[in-house]
Amino acid sequence: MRFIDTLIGAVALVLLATTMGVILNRASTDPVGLLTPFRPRLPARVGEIDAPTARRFALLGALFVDAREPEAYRAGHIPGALNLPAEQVEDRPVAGDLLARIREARMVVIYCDGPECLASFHVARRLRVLGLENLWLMPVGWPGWEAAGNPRTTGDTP
Amino acid sequence: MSRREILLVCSRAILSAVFLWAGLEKLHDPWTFAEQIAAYRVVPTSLVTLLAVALPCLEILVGACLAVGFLTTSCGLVVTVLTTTFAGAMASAVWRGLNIDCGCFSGASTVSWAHVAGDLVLAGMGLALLLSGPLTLSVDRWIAARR
Repeated sequence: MRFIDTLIGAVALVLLATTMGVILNRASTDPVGLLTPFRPRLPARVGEIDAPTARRFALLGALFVDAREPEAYRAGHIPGALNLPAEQVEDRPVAGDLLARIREARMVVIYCDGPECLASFHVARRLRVLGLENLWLMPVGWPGWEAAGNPRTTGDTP
Repeated sequence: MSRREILLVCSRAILSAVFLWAGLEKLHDPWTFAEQIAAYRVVPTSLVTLLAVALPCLEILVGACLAVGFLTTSCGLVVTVLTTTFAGAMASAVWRGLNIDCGCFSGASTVSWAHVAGDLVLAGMGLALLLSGPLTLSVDRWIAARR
């Protein structure tokens, strides 16, 4: 019986805290969206584009950066995309030749595994810190690109 | 007060301070906290923001209740579950080699085995409170005495 009381008290605390949190968030001047896939704030001067816009950018010569793991990249990626996994840019400096190629590009479109994937944010943030401009995120990522029937390629090379 | 009771009251005071501090530090910036939670990659992204707004409030609520000794065993249960879950998430992050902020307090601190150990110590204190009855210097004891 005593444990039931304890459990009821604990559940009440959790429910009360959740209610307080939701109310405070709604009253906030900068609320986060609840029960939607979390998207961090975009780094300064980084835009978001959908798959058709990314396709147009590709035709204009944009460079694509694939922020997924090498295995996923190998299985299928956007033709010409460089593989720059988020974990690599977080832990170590970006390889000079890779960075030089990204710097040369007029536009850089970064993508990963769709709206729930945050790897592209991490790569965009790192590239912004390194001073790169004209960065764009494609939140629909590889699944959205593929679903739209856009070109794809496989293997370790762009 | 017996030695056991002194230890329990000290545990209550430490947990109260830690939870109040942690909750108040995170309450004002749910965006950063949400990002810290997401970085662990163990929570579905659609639950990240709900956790980011609810967890600081839960920490503050538990810290305040422990400060006055109200619902102490329930708070002990919440503390035990929360800190064990945090320890598990942090151990998994360290194991996977993730170099991420622990999200414990507002200052940047990379997740490590020391954080896991710290949370397990807090979990032990929470378990002790869960198994205790109404303590000295608590609202719980005052309520129990009036029944």
